[in-house]
Amino acid sequence: MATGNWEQQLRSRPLRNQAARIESDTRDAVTIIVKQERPAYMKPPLTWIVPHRPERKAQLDALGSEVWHLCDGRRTVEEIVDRFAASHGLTFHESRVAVTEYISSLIKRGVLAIEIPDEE
Amino acid sequence: MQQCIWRNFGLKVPDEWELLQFSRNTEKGRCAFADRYRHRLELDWRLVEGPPDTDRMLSDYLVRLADEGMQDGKRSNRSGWSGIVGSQDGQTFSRFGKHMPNEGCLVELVFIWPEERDADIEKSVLQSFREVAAEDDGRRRWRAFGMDFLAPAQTVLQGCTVQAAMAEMTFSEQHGRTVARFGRRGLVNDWQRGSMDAWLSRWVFGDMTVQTHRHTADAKGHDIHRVEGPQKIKGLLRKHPPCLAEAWLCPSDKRLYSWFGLASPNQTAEGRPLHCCGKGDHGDR
Repeated sequence: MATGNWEQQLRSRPLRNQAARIESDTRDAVTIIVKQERPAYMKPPLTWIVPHRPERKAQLDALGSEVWHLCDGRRTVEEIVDRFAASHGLTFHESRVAVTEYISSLIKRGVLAIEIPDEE
Repeated sequence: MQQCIWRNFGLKVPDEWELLQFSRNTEKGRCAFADRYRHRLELDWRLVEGPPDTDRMLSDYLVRLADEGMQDGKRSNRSGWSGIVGSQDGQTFSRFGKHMPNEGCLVELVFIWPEERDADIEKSVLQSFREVAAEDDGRRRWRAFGMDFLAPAQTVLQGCTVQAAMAEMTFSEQHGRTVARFGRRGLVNDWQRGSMDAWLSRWVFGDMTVQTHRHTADAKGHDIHRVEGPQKIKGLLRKHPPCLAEAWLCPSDKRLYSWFGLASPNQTAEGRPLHCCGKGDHGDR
């Protein structure tokens, strides 16, 4: 039988990228500037056509901004899921799916990192 | 305890256990319920020719589970169910099986106990399990993902989409056209733009040609938006039966409920197939 277990995921802690810069921050929208490394292939003549951008902009919508505001470096994913569920009238797992998908997308965009707890 | 009805099987599970996995297959399938950290209960079903030789089946099963790594396996009977209890990977598993004569199925309930086995929960779930008979008019009751509805007679679950704050179940005739859809959506303020009528028209766009819009209020104070019109079916010579669809925002849970179906001649507001507000109006039979 499949025994799903996501306890470790819930105990992990999202951390904000300290190198990222917040361009604007309101309750309903946050814009974050993330620095990008220059890939090895980004050199002339390629950069004559496609210039390298040292920074990338991540614009978060209202729900994304809410999740980002909750990711303060102290709360665990579980606490964020609980807060998000309470504020939107969702069940725990509805909120878990929404929050963890969003956190994953923010990690991919370089806005967040994740601290995974040691297995007991 | 909350009630779940899936594939004519009804059971009550603790409120914090949510249905996370499901199967549309009526012959052999599985549903899984989970608490916030892990799966806690699995419901498996399989069509069988007739009642099995329970004693022999359990003996064979006990041997097979021991081969797969189960330790301290022993037989356990509870509330009319025959079962096996054992441990594996630091967790206790209790498995109970029973033949369901009306559905012609062998059903297995597998409980996963990461800590101590809870006899009270186990007993409550086993005692609550039942086969759910069809209504007098042949409709079949389902209760899952916050919806409580009656699916039309002689239909099969064609599709079930579950996403964050959105669940939708579609029923069709055997290998045929869609005849009913039921949906429940959350986070409404974050995605709904425009009127409910406009949303409902978009929702049924592939199913029916909207001819009339109507508003009614039900006894619970729901503002019901209804559209009516003929069904969209490919083929010039085919009959386009009348359909209707309704949608409303439930003030108690702030969710948007919607359903689409073929109109029956005696359709009344009381006969609405989808209900919200917790228990629903189909009772707790």
